Amino acid sequence: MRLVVNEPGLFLGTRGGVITVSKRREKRLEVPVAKVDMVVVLTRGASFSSALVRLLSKHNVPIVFYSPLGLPLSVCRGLTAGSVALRKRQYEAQSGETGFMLAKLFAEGKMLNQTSLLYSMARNREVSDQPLAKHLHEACRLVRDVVRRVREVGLDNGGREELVRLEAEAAKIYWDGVKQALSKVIEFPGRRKRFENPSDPVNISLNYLYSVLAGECLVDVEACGLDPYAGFLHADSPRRPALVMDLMEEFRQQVVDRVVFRLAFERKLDGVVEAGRLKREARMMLYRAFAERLNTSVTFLNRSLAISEHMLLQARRVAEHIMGRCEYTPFVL
Amino acid sequence: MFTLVIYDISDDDLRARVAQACKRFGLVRVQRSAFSGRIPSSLRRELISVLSKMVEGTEDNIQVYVVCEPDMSLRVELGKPFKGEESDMLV
Repeated sequence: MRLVVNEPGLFLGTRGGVITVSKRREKRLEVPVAKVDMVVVLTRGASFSSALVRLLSKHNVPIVFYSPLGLPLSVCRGLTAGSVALRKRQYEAQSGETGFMLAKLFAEGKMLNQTSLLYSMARNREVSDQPLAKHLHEACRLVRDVVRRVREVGLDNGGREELVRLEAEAAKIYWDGVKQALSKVIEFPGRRKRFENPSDPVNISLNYLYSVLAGECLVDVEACGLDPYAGFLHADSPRRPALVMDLMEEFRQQVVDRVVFRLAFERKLDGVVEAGRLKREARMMLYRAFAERLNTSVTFLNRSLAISEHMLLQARRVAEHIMGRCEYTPFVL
Repeated sequence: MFTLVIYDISDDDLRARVAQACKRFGLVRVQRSAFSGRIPSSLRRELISVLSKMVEGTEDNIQVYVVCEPDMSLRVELGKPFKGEESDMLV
């Protein structure tokens, strides 16, 4: 479970090996460390005792601090073991065939998840809204077409640029379909990224949860001993952890999009934005829905586990692929 | 596996320490002198060894029960339920 700190004035300490949460010396909660996988801090003005940080580090429970926009700012955790051989192989793989295979599989996984989301939306509307269902089925078919072209891309003749181009093409079809479906319940001008400063609740919620997802992936990538900044599909950047962005691609649709669209269809996103920002309660609501989705068990590669556990396993499979021990399979539902 | 710990301890200090140990291992209080919860068997074994050291050489008694899921589903609770410790901060 995740312990979410979303209220200024909270104090987190420890007594006898149990995490205690209090506000103005009044006890609010006591949880054993064994039950907590991660402490998530979404607010300013909360304080932690050093004894707690020690206890959490000892049990390998990270504390993740997020900015008000949802960007992961810092991860506080115990030291992990060095993984020199893996990292060396990772940097080598960036320019070679191994890394290119990974980039292709990340892109493929993303697109296949896009089709499965479009498909389930289409299926749900076959009776209630036939023209829309037909349109979504068509979008689904177009994205699948792009997937076929991705599989044929080779490394030699500008393969990387081609991958990025195809990814953008699939994204355009996907978001156009989503726009059509969402336009019945909420105003959605199409997908806008964070730097485009969107003002509609859907884009703001998407951007917020994508960033939160990045924090989760960052913790998993680091736990496997990989360098989060050396990516395969995304270009290296000192500001953005490229490998985290890579690993995220195949989880965006299943974890974030699905949650946000559901909330939009349930009309829970009306009035969550105030002065271009999410309200505190809205942040908590989004996080709760997101965590619920992460804890949902799904079957992938014959194993039924919570999605957050599949995320860690996928990070480990990336490491195994880099070391040449097994083939990588993108997470597709 | 579902684990149930019940104890009968006269010394206040020791009783508090036993309760604290149960909490630390992720069990929740279900009655004054009873803790229960779903914890992995590795944690249960560790808890048992901690508790056994505590009561060693005293006149007190602790019992640990392991209950499987099918039997657990037959559980019946009568009367006013003991206060649960659920919070909106844990998700």
